[in-house]
Amino acid sequence: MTTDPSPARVTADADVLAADLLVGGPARAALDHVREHSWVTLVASGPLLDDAEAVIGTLGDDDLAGDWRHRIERACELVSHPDDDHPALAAAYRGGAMHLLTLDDSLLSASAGAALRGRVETSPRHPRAFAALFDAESLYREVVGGEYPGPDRDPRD
Amino acid sequence: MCVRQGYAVTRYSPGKALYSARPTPPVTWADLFARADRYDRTEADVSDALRRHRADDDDDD
Repeated sequence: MTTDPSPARVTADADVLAADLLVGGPARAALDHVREHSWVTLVASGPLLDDAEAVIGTLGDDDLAGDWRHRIERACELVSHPDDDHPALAAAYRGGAMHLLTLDDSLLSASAGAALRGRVETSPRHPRAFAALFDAESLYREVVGGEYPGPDRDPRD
Repeated sequence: MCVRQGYAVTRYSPGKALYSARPTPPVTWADLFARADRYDRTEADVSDALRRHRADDDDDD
C-alpha cells in the first residue's frame, strides 16, 4: 500500500539521518525544517533506520545509536517495504514523500533523476538544496491552507 | 546509577532499597547533538560508512 504523494512528506536516506546527528551542516539544517513544523512528515522504514543506526554505531557509539533510534522513531512515520528494495527509495515511494534527501551521488545524478521521473513522484535532493529552497510559507498555504503561523515545534526538543 | 532510555534504575546496595525506578525525561535532539559533537565526523565519513554497511549487507544475502 502506498500513500498519496505530498510535498510536505520527506524521506531522508540513512546518510542524511546519520549526518544530521554526527556532522550537522546541511543535513541538520534540512531536517530542522522538518522538526520545527508539525505538518511536515518525515517518512522512514525499519530497514532505513537500521542502516542509519548501524552507521551511528560505527562512527559514534552503540549507546548514542540506541538513544537516537528511540528519538527518531518518535519523530517519523514508518512504512514497510520488501527487504530487497533500496530502503530510502522504497520508503519515499510507499510513504508518499516527494522529497528524498540523500548524499548519494548515484541518486543525485541527472541519469537517476531521469530514471525516476515519470515512475515515481519523488525527487532526490542534496540536503543543502532542500534547506535552501524550503519555503515554509508557500508550502503551508498549499498543504494546510491559510496564513503560515511560523514554526510550531522546537527542533531541539 | 544505571540510566537507560526512559528509566533511572538504582542498583542494590546494602542498607538501601533493593530496587527503585522512576521515569526520566525522554532524550531530546539537543542532548543527542551534544553527545555526538565529540566525534567530529564529516559527510564523507558518513557516506563511506553507509556504503560499506550496505555492501556488507549485500554480501550476506
